[in-house]
Amino acid sequence: MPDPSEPLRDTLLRAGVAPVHVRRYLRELSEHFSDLVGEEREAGKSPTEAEAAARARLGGDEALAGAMLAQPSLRSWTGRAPLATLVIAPILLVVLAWVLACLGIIFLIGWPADPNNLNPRPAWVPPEWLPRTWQPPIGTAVLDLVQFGGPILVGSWVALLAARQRSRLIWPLLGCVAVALFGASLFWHAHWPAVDPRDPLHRLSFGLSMGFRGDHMSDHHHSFSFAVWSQSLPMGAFNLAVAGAVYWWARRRQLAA
Amino acid sequence: MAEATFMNGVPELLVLRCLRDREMYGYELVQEIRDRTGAVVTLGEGVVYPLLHALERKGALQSRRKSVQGRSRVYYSITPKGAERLTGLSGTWSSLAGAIQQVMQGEAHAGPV
Repeated sequence: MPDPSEPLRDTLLRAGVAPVHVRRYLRELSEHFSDLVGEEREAGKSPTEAEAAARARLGGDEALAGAMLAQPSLRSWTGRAPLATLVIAPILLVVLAWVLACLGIIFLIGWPADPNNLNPRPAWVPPEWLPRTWQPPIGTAVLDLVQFGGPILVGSWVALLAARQRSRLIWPLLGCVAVALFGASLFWHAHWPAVDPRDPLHRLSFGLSMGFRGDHMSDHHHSFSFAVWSQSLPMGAFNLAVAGAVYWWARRRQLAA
Repeated sequence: MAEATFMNGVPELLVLRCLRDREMYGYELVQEIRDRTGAVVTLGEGVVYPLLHALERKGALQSRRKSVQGRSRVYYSITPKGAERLTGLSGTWSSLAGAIQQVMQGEAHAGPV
């Protein structure tokens, strides 16, 4: 049997009302309806008459939706600014994931000691403690994990957010394509400290590039190559497929509920 | 339509005033307003909730879920910020009602021309 509150839920979500307020509103309306039915029954009406009277007193879907839409403060950011929430913010989140991964690595291995003291250790960073032979494999593993996992997580988050809000398909589509391609095209690289601390090029550094790959210390002068960039397309397609699957799953779950 | 415009702000005033005395849930609040105004003001039974949610977002109300006689309800109560808002709205309403009353009395005194 279809949920009688589904048309109202759909109208409110599509109009941008925050899902949390929609859920609460429908629950309170259902409780109110039970109280009204009880009152009408006490007044001597039959169950059918009581339900009809309660429904009339509660108000039609149009009036109930209108009252909610008249309160702009109850709208979600996804409803108010879908371009910012579902397209721009996710791209920034991918960059933020890179920043967090770099900071995480610095905290994980500690601040590399510098015999020339050109880069003194900030007080908030622990001193280097992980042996230098371990730093590249562990650091690269963290970087790779976030580089490949970040866009997948962000894309899935966009898909879930859009499905929850029942946003127009164009927004999650744009957001997921942008995150999938941007995330896959970015090449995250790091230069690890040399095992010999007397090596002049022993500093730890991180880089972010698009369209070329290789050791950034020697290839930093390389220009953008479409051929190299296009190698990231399969990864972008994979990111998009995961986000699409998440969106499809979330919508299917809503329709089944 | 004219009546709706005239009633702007009245539901908020009545909700805050009723909740100043005690916490209530939506159904109770609608009945309370109907009883206290002698059924002159009747809020739409279902449309009171968006107002309650908006007032809660503004910090004028707070809510908590409470079970009474086996039934779970969201109870609303006024906050200090809501009490302050009520004072402001009451003042505005009193001066408006006084001014309208004055005009109406003047009309009655003037008599037919």
